[in-house]
Amino acid sequence: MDSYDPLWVEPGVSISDIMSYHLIKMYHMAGRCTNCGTCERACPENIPLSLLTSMLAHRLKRDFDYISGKNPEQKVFLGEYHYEDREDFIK
Amino acid sequence: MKKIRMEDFERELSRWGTVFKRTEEGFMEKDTLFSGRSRQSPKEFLLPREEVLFVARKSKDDVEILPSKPSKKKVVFGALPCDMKGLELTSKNFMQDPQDPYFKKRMENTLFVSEMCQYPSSSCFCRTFGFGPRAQMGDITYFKLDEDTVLTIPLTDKGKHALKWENYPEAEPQDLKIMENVLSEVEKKVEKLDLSYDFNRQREVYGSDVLNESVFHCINCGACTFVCPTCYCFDIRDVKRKDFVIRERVWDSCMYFVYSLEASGHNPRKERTKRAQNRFMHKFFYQPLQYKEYGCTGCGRCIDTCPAGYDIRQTVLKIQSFLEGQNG
Repeated sequence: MDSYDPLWVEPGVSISDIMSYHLIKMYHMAGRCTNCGTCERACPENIPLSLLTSMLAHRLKRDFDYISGKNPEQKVFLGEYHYEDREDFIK
Repeated sequence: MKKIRMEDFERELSRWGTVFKRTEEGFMEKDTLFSGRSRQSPKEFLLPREEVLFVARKSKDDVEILPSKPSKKKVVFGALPCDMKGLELTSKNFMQDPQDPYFKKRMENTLFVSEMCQYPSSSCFCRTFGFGPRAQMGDITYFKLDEDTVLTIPLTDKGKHALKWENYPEAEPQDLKIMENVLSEVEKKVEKLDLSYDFNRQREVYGSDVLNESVFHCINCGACTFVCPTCYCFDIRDVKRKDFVIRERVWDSCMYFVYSLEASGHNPRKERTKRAQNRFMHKFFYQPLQYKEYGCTGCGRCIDTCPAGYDIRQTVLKIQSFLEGQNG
């Protein structure tokens, strides 16, 4: 948002820009977000953000058996990999 | 004042233009009127979130400029006094010389029907700024006597021509008495802060520890600037498409780093708290200096909206005692 160069998200109200902002944000949240729900409570526009965050949590558990925030010792989700990780979604 | 059935009142107004009613979210084409302040103020009827100024299209060996479409006739129904005051303050910026043609056109094509406020909330403090729930503003103002009846009066020529006023009966004295009682009850519930700033001492306030600490927990999300009825900052941008360019005006917010970023790379307000301080300073010092009126209407939207729990009233009072303390 605070960047003109590159302009990641244009400052208008087009749905595609708003969507890409949220999707970019969600990509960075995977494995960090503990799905606590504070963002939804704080949101001034009452956007149901937990729809996205709970999907992140669900996918991580289902596909990678990872629960973020469970154990302070565990590695960050995006910071490690296993040979048996799924990669069929990478085109 | 005339006494009119709500149904007739709305029907007559819909002849003037599309009626947008106050809802919980903002002003929309809905059937029911929300009992309370809407989350968005009606400023987007004069200054839309995204407004096309013109489209430049490439033709064979020239560039063709297509003007924006004229705005439709709209009726803003049920704007509260704080909303109307906000529009009045916003207009000062756009209607001074040189006038903004887009803003002016929208102003002409919009009929403002304001409602005398019966919905005080814990965050309201409009009486601080010299008006209150009973303020009569806009083209037509009305008081909701009950669900089906309104007491109404036109305030401008535009309002006088919008309805056939002579067809409706005058309000009876007991109705006016009810109105008086209700409004004075409402007034009691609205906070009035004691405010007497010396605007010329702005330099002592900006950057002071008191102000800095007071706005410290602001996270610069900009939510307050978007819901504020008097925030009018905008950005002009060109959206490039294949063979045409759209020049647009979009809302901007002084809370963002790039807002005050200069072409040289220098940013006079690069610290987070400086930007939060600036918003307060603009409303309570710079705007009064320029337009002789506070730039806040006390609607309390920023207080309800802030995800960090910032209450501008606290800052207002802290600065008041800061200025008094400095006087001895």
